[in-house]
Amino acid sequence: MKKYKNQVMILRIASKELFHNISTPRFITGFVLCLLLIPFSIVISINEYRSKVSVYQTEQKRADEENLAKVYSAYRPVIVKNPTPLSIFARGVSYNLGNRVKILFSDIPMMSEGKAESRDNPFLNRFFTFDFVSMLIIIISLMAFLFTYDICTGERETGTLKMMLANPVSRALVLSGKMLGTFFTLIPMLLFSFGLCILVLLFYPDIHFTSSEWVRIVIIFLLSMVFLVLFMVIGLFVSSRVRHSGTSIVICLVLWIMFLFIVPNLANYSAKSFVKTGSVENLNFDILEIEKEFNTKVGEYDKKLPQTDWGMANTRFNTDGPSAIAGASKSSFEKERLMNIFSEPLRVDYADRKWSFRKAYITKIERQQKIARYLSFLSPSEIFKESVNGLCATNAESHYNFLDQIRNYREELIRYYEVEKLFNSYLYFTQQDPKSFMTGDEIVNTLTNGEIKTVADLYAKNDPWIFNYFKKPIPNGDMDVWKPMDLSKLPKFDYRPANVLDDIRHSLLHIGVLITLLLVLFYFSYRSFIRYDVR
Amino acid sequence: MLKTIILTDIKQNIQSLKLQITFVIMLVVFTVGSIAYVFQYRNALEDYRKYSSKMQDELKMKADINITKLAVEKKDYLFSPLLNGFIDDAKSQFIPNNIKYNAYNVYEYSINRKTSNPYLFLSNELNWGFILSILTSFAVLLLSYNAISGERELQTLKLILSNSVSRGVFLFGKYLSIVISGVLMVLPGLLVSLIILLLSGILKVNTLLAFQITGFMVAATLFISAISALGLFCSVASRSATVSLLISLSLWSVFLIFSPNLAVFAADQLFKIKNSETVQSEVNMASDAINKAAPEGSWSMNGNDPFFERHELRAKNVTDLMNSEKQIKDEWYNNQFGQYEKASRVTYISPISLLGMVSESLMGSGYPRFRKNWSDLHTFQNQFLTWFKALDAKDPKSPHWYNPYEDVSTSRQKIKFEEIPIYTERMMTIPQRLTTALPGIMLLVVYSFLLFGITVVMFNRYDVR
Repeated sequence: MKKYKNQVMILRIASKELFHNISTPRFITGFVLCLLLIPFSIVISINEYRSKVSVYQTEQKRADEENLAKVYSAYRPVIVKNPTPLSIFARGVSYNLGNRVKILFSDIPMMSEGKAESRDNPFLNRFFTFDFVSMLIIIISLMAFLFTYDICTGERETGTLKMMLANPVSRALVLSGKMLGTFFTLIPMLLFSFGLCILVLLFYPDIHFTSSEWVRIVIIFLLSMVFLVLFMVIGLFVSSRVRHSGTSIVICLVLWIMFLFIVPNLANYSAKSFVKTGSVENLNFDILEIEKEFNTKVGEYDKKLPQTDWGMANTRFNTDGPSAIAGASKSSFEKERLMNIFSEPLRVDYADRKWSFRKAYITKIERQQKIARYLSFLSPSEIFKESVNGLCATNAESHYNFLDQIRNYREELIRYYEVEKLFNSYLYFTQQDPKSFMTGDEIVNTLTNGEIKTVADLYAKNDPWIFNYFKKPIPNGDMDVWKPMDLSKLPKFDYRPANVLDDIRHSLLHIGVLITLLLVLFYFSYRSFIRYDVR
Repeated sequence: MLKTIILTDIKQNIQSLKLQITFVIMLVVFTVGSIAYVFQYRNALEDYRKYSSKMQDELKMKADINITKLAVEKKDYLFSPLLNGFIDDAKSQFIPNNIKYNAYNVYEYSINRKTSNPYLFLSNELNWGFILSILTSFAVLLLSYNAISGERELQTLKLILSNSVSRGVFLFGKYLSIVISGVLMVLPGLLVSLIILLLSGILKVNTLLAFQITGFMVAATLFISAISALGLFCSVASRSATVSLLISLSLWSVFLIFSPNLAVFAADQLFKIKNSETVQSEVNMASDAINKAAPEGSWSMNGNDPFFERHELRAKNVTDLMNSEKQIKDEWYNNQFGQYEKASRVTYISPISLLGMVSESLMGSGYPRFRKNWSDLHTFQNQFLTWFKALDAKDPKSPHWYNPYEDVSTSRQKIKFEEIPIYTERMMTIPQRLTTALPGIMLLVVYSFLLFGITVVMFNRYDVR
């Protein structure tokens, strides 16, 4: 019976608080701010996402063409990452990073490439726009403070607090009722924000979310409620520790500015200034030195191999391996094959050597990012933002995960080449049937239509323009007739983004910190309120 | 009477909790920001020096090969880090800071992100501009939102006005006291920051630095007076201090958040220009047309003989290709400049953006610096080409068929490294900076006057009971 009476009392206090709050200008201000600020931010985020999608489609098309290789030395798959529509909610770091990675044997991918600017006109990057989650943080935290800064002090100043407590109602009940009422006041604003966002999205039917993405959106909404309650409790704590509303509002607003604007910028700037990373330019110079060493070794080995009888052929250059060759002499083909048996495993070894420099650089970059993030956790709004970025897969960790999967795939592909002995095979650099390989003399004979029989005879003419004697094209030299290889047996890259449960697990620390902070502050607020002088 | 009002209010403000807390926070941020800046600037300078010296070595190597290779090779000019970044960096690392050029053309600009960490969120540097824009503006609004409505609620407003003091004088006194309190709040932080930077040894004390610091302080004072006028306006717009606070917080949020979002929205929707894919396909189409129309033999090449007659055709073809691409791309670049300038103008409704624009101009960084370099590089490129052609003309081994991309039919003589003209950036002069900053300064003054004027009119009708 007593429990029932207490519940009725809490609801009565809550409804009184709710009706009082609705009639104040603060309530309308919240909705007006949402209406003014949220649609713009969503429209801009949607435009950024759409431009990312069109870049993705162009790059995927280009990648599909590039991936049609005619010889194994030219097959270096390009992988393009699909942008996620959840980036409309939380931009994270996804717009700083390119979405394209080319698998090379001579290098291990360090970072993704491709268009990294979200805006086509790079000058527009000067305008720091706010995404949905930033906007939500600003509006919800401000409104939470504006409704709770005077939760104790306001009633004390108007004299109604002592009147309420003169009734047979415990302070705990009063506090719970007031907090519940304020919560019911602020929840419509949160719903309105999300509703506005969904409404704007309806105008863009080309953007749709999968069921797992909808689940994430619901979890983000639930997290926003935790965030809202946390800031309400911070406001309550401040209000319970001071006697005047004037003091309370100043402290709350100063905290607001610090949490939302000072701490994030301070954290990032301090990490950038105190944690050195060095520049990619200088790393590239070091990498170039290693490449020079590799080329020198290959050049030296080339000198050890036997001379060929005829050096002319049709070649097609590959950036990451030997050129494709057609119409060369038998000895040239054999020399190339022997060279590849030496150079290709060496190429992979040198990739590992380059990786030690790259890893050192990446470690510094990741360290700087982690320090910035840990420093920013002094602000609860940054903890919330980080957990939302994690759920939207737009944080740094999800990109590290993507790159790790790419590197593993590269290892798998190289292992396949090694196991199938593709480096040792003619197929690595030509589609020409070995049975059709000719000697130099045979080629010269064919080229000159029988007029000159041997290579020696041709050079004996001492004419720098030996092309003048050629009556026919290079035999078997036409690469255009080669069809793209059947790559179905090769390992394919299958990107496995973290599923919802994994992302929740990673965000558990952040969510745990928020909830712990909430409970600890509420407990201290309750204790302060118990001793609060109501006169 | 005016003096009494001002002095009383300043004393009250200094003793108030809001000023004391924000003063302490500002001081901390100034201190940490300046110390961090010293480290950051030293790292940036060291990286830039390493990069420059490696570029110089490459240049020496090219000179050792031949002068044509030197002329046709596309070079990058990367903007150096500026010392005045502690005042305002104008988001220089987010806009183009690298220009590609050779003797024949200035090709393109890009953002060199080589020293930035892509895994960090976009954030502001903790420079004076940031502290003023965010912290000081917020603090001044906090000081001013209840200047009138707060006094009305405390019932002291009617008491003051029952004295022989006009409403205009009273309001002006309030206004001046807020501006002076705001300036007093910021000055110690600026001084501490300057002392830290002087002690670190990175500052070179000269006329330009003195101008920049003084100029920024004047801009800061104008900014504080604009925000004070805004706060007073909010105070007079309502009879309740709470409502005044709501109005001022909403306006502050709108100026901070709404204006950059509005700028990008306006650029995307109202000031549309072609995108990079369209431009590239136009360039490709024009190139294909030129190649199809090129006479036979335009693509023949004999590396050993510059006088091979088909090299003249080749040079003409390559020049035509370059000119067609240049025409399309230069038009697109000008459109990008125009789109950005129009979008920035949209942000001038916000005094925060105005302060940013004024400090950017006074520092000679950001967009004005880029435009100056872009135009200066064009001038340098013409001078470089003239120098190259003069040297080429003296070489009897050159047929003088100018090819903008290839070492095929012009002089192959070697050149001493010391004789090569190198592009050195000339910073904007003080008069140039003042001219660029003037519109922003005028707008800030107009802002203050207009808002204060409206506030006076509203206050004359204000019910003081």
